[in-house]
Formats: sequence, C-alpha cells, structure tokens
Amino acid sequence: MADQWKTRKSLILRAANADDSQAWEEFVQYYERFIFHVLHRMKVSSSDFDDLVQQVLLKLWRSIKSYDAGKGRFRTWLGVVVRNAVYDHFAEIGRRRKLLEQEQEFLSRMESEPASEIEKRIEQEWAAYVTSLAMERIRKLFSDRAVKSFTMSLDGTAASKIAAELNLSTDSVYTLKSRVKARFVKEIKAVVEELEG
Amino acid sequence: MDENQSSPEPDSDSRLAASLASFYYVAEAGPVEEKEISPSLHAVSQISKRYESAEFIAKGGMKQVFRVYDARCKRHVAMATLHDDAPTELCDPLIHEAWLTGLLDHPNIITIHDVGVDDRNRPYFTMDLKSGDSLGELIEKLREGQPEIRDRYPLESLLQMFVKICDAIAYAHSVQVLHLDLKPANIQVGEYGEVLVCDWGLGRVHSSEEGIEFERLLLHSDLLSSGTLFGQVRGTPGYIAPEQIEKDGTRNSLTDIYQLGCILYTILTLQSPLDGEAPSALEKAAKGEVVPPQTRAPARNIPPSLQAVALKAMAVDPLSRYSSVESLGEEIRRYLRGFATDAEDAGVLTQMSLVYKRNKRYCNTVLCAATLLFGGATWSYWKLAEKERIASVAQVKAEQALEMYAHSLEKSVIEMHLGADEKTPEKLLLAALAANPDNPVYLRAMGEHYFIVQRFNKASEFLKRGEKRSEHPDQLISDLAQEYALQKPDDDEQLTTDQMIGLLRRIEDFNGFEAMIVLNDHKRRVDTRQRAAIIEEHLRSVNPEWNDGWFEFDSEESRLRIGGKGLKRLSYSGSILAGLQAMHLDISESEIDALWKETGYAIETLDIRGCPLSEESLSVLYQFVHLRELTIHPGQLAPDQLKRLSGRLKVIEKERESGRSE
Repeated sequence: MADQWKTRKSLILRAANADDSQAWEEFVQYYERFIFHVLHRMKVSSSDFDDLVQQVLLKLWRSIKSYDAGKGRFRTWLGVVVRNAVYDHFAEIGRRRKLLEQEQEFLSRMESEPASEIEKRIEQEWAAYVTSLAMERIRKLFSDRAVKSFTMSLDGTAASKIAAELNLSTDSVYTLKSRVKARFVKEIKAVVEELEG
Repeated sequence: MDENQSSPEPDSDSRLAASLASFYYVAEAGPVEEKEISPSLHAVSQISKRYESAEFIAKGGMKQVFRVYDARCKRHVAMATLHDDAPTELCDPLIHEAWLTGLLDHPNIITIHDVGVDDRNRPYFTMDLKSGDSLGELIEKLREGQPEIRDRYPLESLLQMFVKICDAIAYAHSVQVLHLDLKPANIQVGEYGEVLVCDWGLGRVHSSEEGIEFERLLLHSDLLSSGTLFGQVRGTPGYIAPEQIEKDGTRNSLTDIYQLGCILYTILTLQSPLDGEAPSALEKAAKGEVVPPQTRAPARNIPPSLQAVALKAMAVDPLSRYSSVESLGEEIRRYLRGFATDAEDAGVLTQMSLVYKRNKRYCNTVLCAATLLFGGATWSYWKLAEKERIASVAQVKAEQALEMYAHSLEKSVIEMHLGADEKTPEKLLLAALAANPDNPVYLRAMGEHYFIVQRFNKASEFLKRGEKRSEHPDQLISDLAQEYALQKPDDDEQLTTDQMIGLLRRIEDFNGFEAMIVLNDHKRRVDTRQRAAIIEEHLRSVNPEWNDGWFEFDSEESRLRIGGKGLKRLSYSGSILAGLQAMHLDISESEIDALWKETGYAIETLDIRGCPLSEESLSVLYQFVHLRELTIHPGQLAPDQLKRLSGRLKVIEKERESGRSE
C-alpha cells in the first residue's frame, strides 16, 4: 500500500469517475480507518456504529467530487462534510424512531458545541491520520535506531542522551534525526497529494 | 492510532502522535530541502578542494610523495608530484607512469586512485598509502640485527614476500608491461604481510607484434622514453642488468628477471649484489662479477638451492636465466614446500633428503617410521662395508645396496602419495628406472604409481613386469589394472564414482594403498557428495567390523556424522576426511581412538562423546586450531585438560545418546 501513492492520479480526481471501482476500494481502504477513528474520538454513541461509518463514508465519496481545491483547504472541507454527515445520520434516525437515551445525550452534546469547534477537531484528527500513514512508510525506509533518534528528539530528549541510549555517536544522532525528519515531511506531502488531490 | 503498538506507554504515544501531527502543517507550509534528506550528497557536492593537508613522505629521482587527505573519499592517500624545480619535460612522463600503473590490476601492485593537474598546472597522481617499511628498509633493519624484526621475518617469510613480487611481475608481463627498476626500495611491505610493487616510473610497454590493446598503444615505449633525459643510465646501480648498461641492449622480461634475482640475492645475503659507486658497480654487472651469496655472507645459513636460483636468475647472458617469472617464482614455491629446485639440478639423493625433510613436518608416526628406515639403512650400509672389507664381494654389495635403496625409494614414493603429491613420484621413479630399466621393485612401484593415479594402461604395462611379493596382493592389483584399463581405456580420464566404489570393494588394503587411491582421486573429484560416497566405501573397507553404523554427510551444512560399533580407524597417514572439508564433525558413539591426522583441516565443531579416545589423542585436541565447540560426555576429559581447553573453545558436556543407530 505504501508505494501506491507515488505517481498516480489522486484519489479525488479518480473518484469523479463513478465507474472506477478500484478507486472506490482504495477510497474505502484509506478513509474507513480515518472515519472509524474520528467517530470514536467524538464519542459517538450509536446502536449501529458500523452502519454510521458506512454512511459517512458514502456521503464523503459522493461529495468528494464537488470538492474544489481553489475554494479552500481539504482538511477544512473534510471537517465540514464529516460533521454534517454525522448530524444527518442522527436526524434521519430521529425521523424513523425515537432516539435512545445515550444517542439523545450525544446529540445534545454535539449541538451545544459550536460547529467550527467540531470541524477543527476533525481537521486535527485528519492531520494525525495522514502523519501516521507517512510514519508507517518511514518505518520501512529507516532502521529502528534512525526512527528512534527522530521520535526521541521530538520528546525533547537531548541528543547526548539519545546517543547513549541507542549506542550511537552524537554526530550520528544529529544526522539521523534530521534525515528522518526531512524524509518524513516529504512523505507527508506525498500522502497529502494522493488523498487530498 | 497505529503507533500505539510499538511503545509501552500510551500516554507518551499520544504525545508522540501529536508531535508527529504537527508536521502535517509543516509539510503543508513549504518544500523540503534536498540537502536535509541527503546530507552526504550535499557535502560531497560542496567540496571544491579535494586534497588537503599535505605531509611530505619521501623523495625520489623525479618525484616526491606526500601524504594527503582526500576529502571526497574521507581517507588519506599518497600523492606523487614532480619536484618543484623539475623541468616541464617531466610532466608527461609522470602522467604516463600513473597511466601505466593504472593499467595493472593486481593485489601486489600499487593501485592508482586519481590522476590530475593542480592549480599551478603541475601533474599529480594519488595511490594507496601504506604504513610500513620498504623491503629495502626492512633488510637494512635485519642486517643491523634488530631482534624483534629478526624474529618476525625469518627467511621463509621473506621468501613468501618474494613469491608475491614474482606474482605481480608475472602478471605485469602477461599484459606486456615491464618494470625495469625492481629493487628492494621499490617494494612496500605492510604490517600484515601485504607486499606492493611500486614505482613503475621506468616501466614501459613491451612492444610485441600482437595483442596490444589500443590504450596500451598510447603508452608505447617511444612515449615513455623519458629516463635518458639526463644522460643517466636507467635503473639503479647494484640492481641493474648487464643489458641495461649496454648502449643498445634489448630490455625485455629477462631484464626484470635479472633484477628479481638481485632482490632474491639481497634477501639471502641482506646485502645488495654489487656494491660500490655507480661506475664500478655497473662495470661489475656488465662482467657478471657476482659473488655467490654464501661467499658474500658466510655467517648466514643460505640454502644451496636458493643460492643456485639467485645465480641462475642473475646470469649475464639473458638466455641462461629463467625463461619466465612464473618459473622463477615456482622455484621458490617448491623450496618453501620442501621440494628440490630445478636450479639445484637435483639428483635422486637430494630428492630423497627433501622427502625426509617434508615428512618431518607431517607427524610423529611417520617420523618414527623414517627413523627406523634410515637407522636400518645405516646399519645395513655399515654391514655391507664390513663385508666388503672382509670378503671384497663387490657384486653382493652392489646388489644388496641396490635392493635396499630400491625399497627405501619405494617407501618415499608411498609417503608422497599419502601427502597427495602425484607428480614427484613419477619423476623419481623415471629417474630410477632410467638407471636400472629392469629393476622389478622399480617396475612394480611405477606400476602402483600409475594405478594410484588411475592410469590403468600404463599401470598394467609396468605391473606385469614388476615384482610380485608373496604376501602382498600384487597379482590382484596387476589383474585389476588390466581389467580397469578395459573399463576406462583413456588414461587421462577419471573413474566414475560407481567405478571407484567398485574398485575399492575389490581391492585389498595394504600399507594404505587404498588411501592413496582415494586421496589422489579427490584431487580431481570436485563434488563433495561423490567424495563422500567414496570415503564411506573406503572406511567400510578399512573397518571390516563396521557393519551397522552411520555415515551421514550434509554438504550444504558442511556436516559429517559417522559412528557406530566397529568404526575404529579414520585415517592412515593423512586424513581421508580432509576431502570433505566438513566443518562439523560428529564421531560420537564410534570406536575411534585416535585423531592425529584430522587436526590439519578446519573442523569447527567436534562431537566425541562415547569415543574411546586415547590419552594422547585427547591431549592433541588443542591442535585443532579452528575448533570452537567441542562436545564430550561427562568425565571424558580430565579436569586439567578441560580447564586448558575451556579457555580457547566452548566445551559442552552432554550425556551420551545411547541406543543411537541407523
């Protein structure tokens, strides 16, 4: 999966073609995990959680064709779409039957919060998700020690301490962490290009 | 998030995830600099001055050598440049020297790394930088008698260096390059036995009609004729060949051979062959006034054979020298292996004494046999001499002496075969037969020799006429030779594995005859699995009570497991198992009681549980130099032996696996 986003057309462009079943499969592959995670974080309480994931996914797939990069950032747009999809889901259940107590509770919690706040949290989740995909790739490219040099330095651990722990010279720690970091940013760009168009 | 799996603390993980997520915005913000991803690429691309911090090392006739730091390769190399005041005419020759040396790709020839022009438009080249002395300096130290140098460099190790020099020059000659300035000062000797032939400044491409590649044409001798610029003789006094002094003397590979002879002379005497200032040394060289090494250095113990080699290489008439560097090098190799050199013009007796010398290296058993043999011979000769004095029966003496000699010769031949030497016996026997064409002992020995090397037609020819001893299977061998000559008519071919096994089944073992056949067969049989099949058959034949044991050879894992009741003997006089080169040998639960001959090859793990190994055999275990793991049964080794071995290798004490069978 890692090398799929190298030279191909972005998923968004391909999603415009409704007949591209492979594009759909890939879309599910990447976004399902994200949506599942986001809903989980939002503490969505629903009797049919999986169903909700599928619904949001479908809604995203349908509207992704209308996303226009010229009008704003993808992550902002994504936040709006996901929030609305969740909202719509409960609204629709509400039309069919009486909401369960915890569903009701969730909905009121959601309504009490400003929409922009929720969207912003979704955006942040997206950033975390994209970087986690990039990190998977990085772990395949570099040795454990190289990756560790980088992640430990993010914690604010001093280079000398990292060097001692990983049995490296301080010079190597500096080289390794800056290489991993640079490559990491590059990978993020690649993932973004694939997923955001 | 997925990162959660790799670390124990979820808290630090979510913190990490958050820090990582912040890079999303970094990525969104701008491009990444390539130099951050490949800092080394960036660093190399930024280097404008490749060589730094020059330190002067040495100075020669035309150039000087510095130690410089190569910033691109991040290492030190040696850099050669012209003297500061050298005329411009020398620029091209320096470059040609580098090109010429660059053509030579051999481990014992210095490697050129770079040729270039500096900012003052002067040429330079870089090459290997070796720590250590030149052979010249080393010999100087030896002559001064520095004890630790003397211990470190006995004659043998100097000769080994000489062989490497010969290899390098033989290679150069094979690509038509001559050195023409070979001398100890131009040989670099490393601390770990590396030998490098340097300074090809006088070298040139030897014009020969065919086979010169285009690049070499560029370096043709005309282009490289720089050495005469100052009217000096090319070469170094004391190491210069007579023909180099003559005005129009031809210089060819024989000139290098002369100079190699001089180097050998220096190694033997620790002095240069011709002393004196340039003019007189040159005069002496031209006349061939070379003092024999032993006369020159009477205090040193110089082997006559090597003295002969040096003098032959230094003959004034080029045609009397060795015809190729290979043959010169081979002479030294022969000496190192304990054979007579050709220059020594060895008679049978010299050969015999060398046989004795070689055998000395093998093992105590053979030594004992040899002592007995020689003791017996001396006694007989004394007896014979007495007889002569008393009765003057010259005829008796001659016949008996001949017989004695014939049998001891035969014994030597056997030992050579067990040492897997197949060429010398033939030479020896041919020489003996030339003198006594009908001697039945020689004829039989010759026939046996041909039988061992699987030349059955020839074998049959000699065996028919040779001696047939009463208690030996001589008739059987003669018959087998005839039969196998029919099965395998071409003497140059080798028996198939099945044919070999068939032969081993029928032959009776006496005096290790079968072992000789097997050892010789190994030399041409490459497949270790085939060897294994033959070895197993041989071991079954020499261990008649070994009926239900096991013989498992795994060539991929290099593992051999043999054992079982009745397996008592592994080797005759050389190790039969050596042909398998099994790194892991498991002889547990066998009845093997001696392991003398197996110490000679690279066994790494050894399992001897349950073997009734003798005291002596257990005490030679430390002679297995490659051994790193030994498995014994509890109590098999005495505590002090165990202690001694444990320091060097891993000793595993394990219960015997009794009841192990096929």
